Amino acid sequence: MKKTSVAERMPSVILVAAIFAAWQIAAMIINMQHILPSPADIILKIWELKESLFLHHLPSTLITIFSGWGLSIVTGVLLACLMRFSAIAEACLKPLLIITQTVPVICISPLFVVWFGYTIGARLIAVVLSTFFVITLNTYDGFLSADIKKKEWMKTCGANARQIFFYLEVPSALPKFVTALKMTLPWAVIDAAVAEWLGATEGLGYFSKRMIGKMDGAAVFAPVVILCVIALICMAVLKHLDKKYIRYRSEV
Amino acid sequence: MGHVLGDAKIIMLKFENITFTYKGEENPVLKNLSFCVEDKSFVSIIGASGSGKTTIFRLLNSLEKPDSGNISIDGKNIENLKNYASYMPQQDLLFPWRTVEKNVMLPMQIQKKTKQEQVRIAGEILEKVGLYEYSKKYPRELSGGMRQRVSFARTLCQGADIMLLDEPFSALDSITRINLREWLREQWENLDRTILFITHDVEEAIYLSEKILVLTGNPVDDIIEIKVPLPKKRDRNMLEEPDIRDLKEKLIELLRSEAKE
Repeated sequence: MKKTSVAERMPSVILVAAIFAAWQIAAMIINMQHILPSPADIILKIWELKESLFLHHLPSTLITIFSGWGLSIVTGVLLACLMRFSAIAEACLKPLLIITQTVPVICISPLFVVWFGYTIGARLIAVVLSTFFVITLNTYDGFLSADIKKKEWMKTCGANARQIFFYLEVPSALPKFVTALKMTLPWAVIDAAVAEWLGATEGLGYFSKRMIGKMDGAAVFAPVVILCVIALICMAVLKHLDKKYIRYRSEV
Repeated sequence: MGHVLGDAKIIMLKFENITFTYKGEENPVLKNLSFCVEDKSFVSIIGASGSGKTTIFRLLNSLEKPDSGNISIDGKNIENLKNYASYMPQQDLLFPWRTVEKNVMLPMQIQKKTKQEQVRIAGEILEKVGLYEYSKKYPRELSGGMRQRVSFARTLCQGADIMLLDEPFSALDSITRINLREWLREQWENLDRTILFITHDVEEAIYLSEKILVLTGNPVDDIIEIKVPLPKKRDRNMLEEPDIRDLKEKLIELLRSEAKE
């Protein structure tokens, strides 16, 4: 894969800089910080609130994101394996997964709060519900993408079903599985924040909501900026892992 | 040990009165077909495309079961055997996430050999076929011809006495084909194994084999056996000798008349 050169990145860098500059100028003209804080105000605010944001709310949100996402990965992979080995499970689960996919999790999240209270359980359910089906479907498709000719060749070598699964189907499914990880991570970040927004006593989403009540625009934005940065860092890490370990993506 | 015939050659593989029809089809592909392959020989099967060459291999690999008849290797029915034949498919089918060495080790991994044994045998075989220096490379880093060599090494690692090669060079360019053909013949001379080779290339069949089996009829109900009048040590120029050129013409005519049917 080729590297993006600095010159190729220039247009997007210029565009982003221009947008921020326009925002800054507009905010300065309007001069109503509680409604439209400028980028500079937001950065100052992050600095001002750094202790509360980074030491208290960020860890709480990170726990929700990664335990929710992790739970989602485990559930997703287990269901994919179940579907792979049982035709009945496949027939039952596929329609169900598609239905789950259409549920606007945000709308029913308040119910989770009613059921579980202001606990991490309510937030985890929101994250898992909005991400696991993509992991299940992609991984399952990945198993099916294993080359039938390779499968037959393995049979001529005397391979049993377990060997075909681990030596052929699992590695064949890996690229699609990683794609699912890349797709679901930003959703996990968003849903964790939304779940906190709806019902929590800590976390970046909760903090942002509280600041709306205080009409502190810059403080509403501050946690959002941190969330975006987290998502970007995680995406970069996943992209790097993908490039390094799954170079056979196009050859499965 | 196999049966000893009049000319004192041991029969490795025996196809007896095989009839086979693919599921859902009305007409059989093979009808009452019999032939045999001598131990440690190099035998090619040629036939017009769609004539049932690959079907014979699928039967030999137990990927399909004959309607009737017997297939035996070394005198034993293949239904009761495991790992009796090593199969090299048309495409190399190398696993892209494995290095050359790990690809070659796969059949032994399936046979649950110990890790040390896998590494040792893979090393020996890669050395023997001249691929040792490529052990740590991935298939994508190799040319088509090299990949087929790796696939051949992997077939050797399956360890069976009889090797089934299904048009392994058909996807390669003509120069690579000629190189690999000579390479394969050399390998066989040093190997002490039986090779059954499918091809639709008459020249390839002549250069490589001791005996050529031509499939005839639709469905295939008879095989014409032709001994190749070439010495054990061969080179490309021998293909230009008059009797070999006649043989080539004869085979081409035969295939052409079969294709018309």
